[in-house]
Amino acid sequence: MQLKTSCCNKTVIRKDLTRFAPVWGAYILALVMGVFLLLDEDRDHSFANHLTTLPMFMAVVNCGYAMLVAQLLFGDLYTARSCYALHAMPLRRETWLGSHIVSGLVMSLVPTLIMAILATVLTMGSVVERAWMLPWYVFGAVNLQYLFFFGLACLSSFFAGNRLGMIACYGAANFLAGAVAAVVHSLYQPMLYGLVPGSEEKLLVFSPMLNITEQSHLLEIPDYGELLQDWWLAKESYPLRMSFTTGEGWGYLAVIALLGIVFLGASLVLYRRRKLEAAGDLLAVKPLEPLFQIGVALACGYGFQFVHDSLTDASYNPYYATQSLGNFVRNRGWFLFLAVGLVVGWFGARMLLERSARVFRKQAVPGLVVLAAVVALTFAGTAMDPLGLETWMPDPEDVASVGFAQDYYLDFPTLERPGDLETVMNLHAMALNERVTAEELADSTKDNYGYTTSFCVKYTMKNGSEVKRRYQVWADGPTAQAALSLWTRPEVVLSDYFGVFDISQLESLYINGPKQGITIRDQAELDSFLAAFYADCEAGTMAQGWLYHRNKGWFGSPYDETVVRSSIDVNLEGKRYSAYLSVYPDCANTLQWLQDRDVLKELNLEPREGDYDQQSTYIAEKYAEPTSTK
Amino acid sequence: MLELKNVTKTFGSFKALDELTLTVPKGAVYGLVGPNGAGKSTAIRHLTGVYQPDSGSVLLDGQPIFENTAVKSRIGSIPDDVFYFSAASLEDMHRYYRGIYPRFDEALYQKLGSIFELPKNTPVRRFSKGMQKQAAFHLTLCTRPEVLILDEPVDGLDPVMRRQVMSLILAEVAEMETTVLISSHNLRELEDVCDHVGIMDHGKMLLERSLADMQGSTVKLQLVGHTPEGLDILHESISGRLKTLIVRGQPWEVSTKVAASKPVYSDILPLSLEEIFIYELGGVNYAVKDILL
Repeated sequence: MQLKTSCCNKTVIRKDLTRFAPVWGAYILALVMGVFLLLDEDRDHSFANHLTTLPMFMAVVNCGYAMLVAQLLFGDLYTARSCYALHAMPLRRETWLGSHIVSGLVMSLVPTLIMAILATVLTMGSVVERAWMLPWYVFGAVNLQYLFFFGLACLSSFFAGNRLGMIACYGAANFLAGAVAAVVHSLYQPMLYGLVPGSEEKLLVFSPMLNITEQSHLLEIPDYGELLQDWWLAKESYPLRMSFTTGEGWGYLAVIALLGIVFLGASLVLYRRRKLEAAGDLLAVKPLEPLFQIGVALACGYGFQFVHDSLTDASYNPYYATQSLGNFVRNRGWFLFLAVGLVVGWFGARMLLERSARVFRKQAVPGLVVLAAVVALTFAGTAMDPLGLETWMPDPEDVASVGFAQDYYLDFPTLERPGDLETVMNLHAMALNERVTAEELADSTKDNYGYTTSFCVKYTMKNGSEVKRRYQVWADGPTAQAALSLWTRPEVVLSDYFGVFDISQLESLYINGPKQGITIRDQAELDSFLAAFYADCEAGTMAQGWLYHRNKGWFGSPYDETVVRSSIDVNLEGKRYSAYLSVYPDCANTLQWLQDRDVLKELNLEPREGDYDQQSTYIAEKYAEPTSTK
Repeated sequence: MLELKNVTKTFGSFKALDELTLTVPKGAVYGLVGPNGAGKSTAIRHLTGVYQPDSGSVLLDGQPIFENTAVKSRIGSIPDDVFYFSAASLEDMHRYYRGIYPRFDEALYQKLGSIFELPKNTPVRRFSKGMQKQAAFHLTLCTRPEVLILDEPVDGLDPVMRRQVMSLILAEVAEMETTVLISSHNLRELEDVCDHVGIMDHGKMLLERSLADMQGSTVKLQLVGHTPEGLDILHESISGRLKTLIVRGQPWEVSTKVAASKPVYSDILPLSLEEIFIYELGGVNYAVKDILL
């Protein structure tokens, strides 16, 4: 019998839940098994810790499960027989939709409720305070995520006319922005010398799947690893106590859950307007067809380019990028793959839309030509760099501070000594002038001496914006030599591993040397280590990169590495860091300090013969001073 | 009364219905006839509230059908290709129909169960095509529809079951004054049950009339002798001395004229549905025999 309210029908809900019981039953089983998999021998604390990270993993699960549920519930729309039969029945479309939505929500709430109850039982005996609440926070987070993905999947279901179309719409909604960012990062950005990934990653805000998995700040047991280690080092002499905190991500979850509800409302609008004769077509909303065709053509075109790159290794390597239109012309294979991909995608999309192979008509060609021309223009336009991004340098008056690091994704220590801005800008100009090209590198490797190294500069402008540039330069060239003064600065040396912090606040040090490991807690010892370290920095010998230390000596036999990598565990302001500090044969002060504490093996400071340490003759010739002639 | 008024429906560039007007009087058994692709199924989907017309109106007793649950609960339909949920048994479908249709008659369901004798717990998809059609009748009749719309209803049924199904339909008509619309491209199977017919082609209604009117206005005359004067002859064929004439006019009118000519032999015969349509539409230059089986 119909309910008095028309938003849903009990019979439809019951039918949905019974006929798809195997699917959500399997989901229950998977979640239960997953909960048990989180248990290990340290279940009194590790289980709770695993629970704090579960929402991130479940975002991926929810993305797929919501799509599956929507496919099941709305799949009847995609076959004419079922679609017509069910819509001939005396139920309004609102009732159908409301019933399916309730069913879809039940298919998540019930399994996750079972998971939460089971996890609550398993948290008994945990050393984490109020650990029994964790499963319920996870329950809330997971279902808020699901509400978003399910709403999006429902909306995708009504844009589509068949299952493939639904998957395409859902996939595009979730990953299109990420795909665009990847294309920009891999194909366009490398065409501009010195530019680093960054701005295109802002597109990821439009990729819910990628964004949600970044939202890990929901639950946390602060200092989990440190607390355990301290307790273990103290030989378990005191009771282990932990607690959890909630993070900032709940607001974001609430927003996307609300967005999911908006999507469900939009689904109703689409459903009311849906023409049921679209059952079986790829798209039920006809105005989307041109967009679909363009999207598939572009995806195939760019996809074929990626295939070409992987097959031929002829990619525009971002580390050596500097491109010109001449390069495009020479790289005919690249163009061919792009063109073939566009054609395949264009007509392939039309085949999917018309469900016929007879799509090769003259009328289809102009659109393809226009699209190809637009793509060609984007590449040509980027390569020409109309905005002058490659050669841009800031006005010193506009710069608030400057940073220097090995790569763009690392923390950038701010350089605060007088003249640092001028030094960095000078380096920047030198790198622009040096401009290593892929062809030049190929030529130089003929004598195996074309070593390169890289550095990144960051300008923080007075208006708050940040600009980063990354340059690959010849290791033996003038730019790299000029950069040495910055490479060997203490804050730059340590930023590779530790991030930006004040090492003078060092509390303890564990050095795992080649011969033995030592722990330093004595303040005088720590100060002496720091003094040796700073002295080598001042001497210019602490740059982290073997290219700066060739021909300086080796350890043990001639076949050993020319460096000792001491693993260092550092306690700073109550937090523990682990990293490697490479100490080279020319780091005299630090080496002496380590030798005095019997950490090292035999050191030989005699130069070693062999190609390995030779400097590049190619570079030497390239940058040789012109000889004067009479 | 079930009506389509000037309904037009286009799928892309193809016009499936072209200002179609169809009227099914209350309590009538209406045969909707036409060749493949005439638009019968499209018309039926409008009548069952599946399609919304591009223009025109689709009404039951003056009320629109589309998205009108009160009206749709009074309509039962059996398409040519019946749908059941995968793995659903007859009993599952029974529960489903009972929950959807407010007028579902449980007592009738049990009664018809002894007539159809279908397995209750076997998945319906494992039934033969004919059994699936029987199951559809079983379920649909129990919803106590005021209007029954059937698309190729006896296709796939054996002759005994065909007769049984038609009997059930006629019993419904007699008992409940159910309005029935049967779509078919086979006139012969409609002949015994329909009292109204409409013939469609290319999305248009070519002819729509009650059977009584048609049979009352056209007769088949066989005679030996001179052809009487004053007859409106639609068609004449001669076999030896026997003449067969298709004549427009009331039977008594024709009989009077024939008697006046004192033929050696004469007989007035009822026309089959097929013959009526052939000769009625012959004047509009339709290749009707190409339309009809």
